[in-house]
Amino acid sequence: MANPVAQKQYTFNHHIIKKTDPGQSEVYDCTYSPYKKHRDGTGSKSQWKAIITEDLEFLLFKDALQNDWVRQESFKYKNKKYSRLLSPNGRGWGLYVVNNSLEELGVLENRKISVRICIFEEGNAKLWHGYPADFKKPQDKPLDHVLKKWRDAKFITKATMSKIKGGKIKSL
Amino acid sequence: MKPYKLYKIKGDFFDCQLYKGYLYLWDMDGVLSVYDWDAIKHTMGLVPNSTAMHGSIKAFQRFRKGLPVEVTGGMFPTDTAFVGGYLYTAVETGLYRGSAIMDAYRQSRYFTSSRPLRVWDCPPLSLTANYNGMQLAISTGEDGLYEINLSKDVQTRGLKKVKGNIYTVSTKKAIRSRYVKKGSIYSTDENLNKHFHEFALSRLNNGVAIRTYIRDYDFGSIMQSKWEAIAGTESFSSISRITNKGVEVYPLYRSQRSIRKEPLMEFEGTKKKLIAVEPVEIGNIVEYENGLQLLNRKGVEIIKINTPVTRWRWLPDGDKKLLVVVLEEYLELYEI
Repeated sequence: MANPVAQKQYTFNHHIIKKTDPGQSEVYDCTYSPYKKHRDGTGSKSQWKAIITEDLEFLLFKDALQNDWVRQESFKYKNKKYSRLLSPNGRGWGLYVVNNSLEELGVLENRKISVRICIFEEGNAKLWHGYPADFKKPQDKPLDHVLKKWRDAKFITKATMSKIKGGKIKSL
Repeated sequence: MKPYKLYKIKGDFFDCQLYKGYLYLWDMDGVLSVYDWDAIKHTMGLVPNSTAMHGSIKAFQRFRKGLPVEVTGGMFPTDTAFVGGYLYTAVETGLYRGSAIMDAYRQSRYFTSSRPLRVWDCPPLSLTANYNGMQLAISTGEDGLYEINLSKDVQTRGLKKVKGNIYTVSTKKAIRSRYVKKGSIYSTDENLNKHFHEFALSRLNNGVAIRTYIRDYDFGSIMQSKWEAIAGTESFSSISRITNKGVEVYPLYRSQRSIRKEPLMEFEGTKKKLIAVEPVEIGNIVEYENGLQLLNRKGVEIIKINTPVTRWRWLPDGDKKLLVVVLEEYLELYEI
């Protein structure tokens, strides 16, 4: 996949557990590049709302990684199961939470549907970008463990979780 | 007096099924527990309130069959169905199959298979069993509609095989489906558009039936020439379509000679707010983003639920029917 056209680049040092010793952590250093085409009105791309500045977009990305709202790899260490951020081919999901409520962060390609969930992709190893998520695309749907965390935090209801999984709603 | 009995069970559930008198309940850790439904119903029925009975699932642990089991590694089922004695579970990593009731469950710790087999890596959105219990329709959203045929007595023809006994029925988008006459399938996409996938049934001399795929029909063609095929399976059914104003529902009776030109019911609402309109024997179930209604054949409300529904199912229970509704903190079972 080609590098996204970057306006700015942000670096982020995220701590993840070590595969060789889950009691210890290691630094996962990555770069976040906001993708211009999700801001310039390109018709085939979902667009961030103006309120989501590039700095805020990066904050949503950091939140996603820090809260483990990401695709994970599972591994065993001394017969115990562990999981941590999967990289390369990483994927994460973000929310724009204001006063404990989810706010709209973007619109889909048709510009008619506003959405409250975004997706982050590790296009090249350790190079991430993000955009408002479209549930019609299976890869944009948050994974079960992410939905469960959002439900536990009361950001979404169990009914919403079920409707997202069943493809019954196009957006949140 | 209300035309139903309500059993209300407190607990944090994600899905519910009823199979051979057993209640299959998935919790929010993706763990499946199976209970003796008759025993629960009997115990709840001892409460002197005749229309609404309450209980907590914790109080019914003595009716649990075997140990709770993480059927699919703790993943939540997107949908579940029973076909040919198997429990099929759709999760985000694909479609799994395991014994619904283990033959040796009295000796085993588990009532249902604890190690299901992954039969397909495509993650389905919904599963529907055929009335004969031997075919399973698999709606996958953007990727279309598929079918698993478990019957050795019914051969499928005219469909492309994906792998094993999995066939492609249609590449048109499908988020759910139901079987109608002759094993034809009636599917719905995310905009509530309907498609009819017609099959013909013929029987060979050796007793083997051949189910041949004919073609797909859209709503207009169904209304013109294929409504009878949908009306034919039950004494009542319906066909619905989304319009700019909401949804129109056309009733279909088995004995009727022509289709009504005007809809019986029209629901206000937008595509966003309406989730589903599905016919059942006694009328229609309309699911909204924030609730659910069961309406009789004339459109009169029987049950209204004013809270978002996690999952609903219309299930046979002996000579009665159950509308099972999974809510945020409760499971409600309406016996009709």
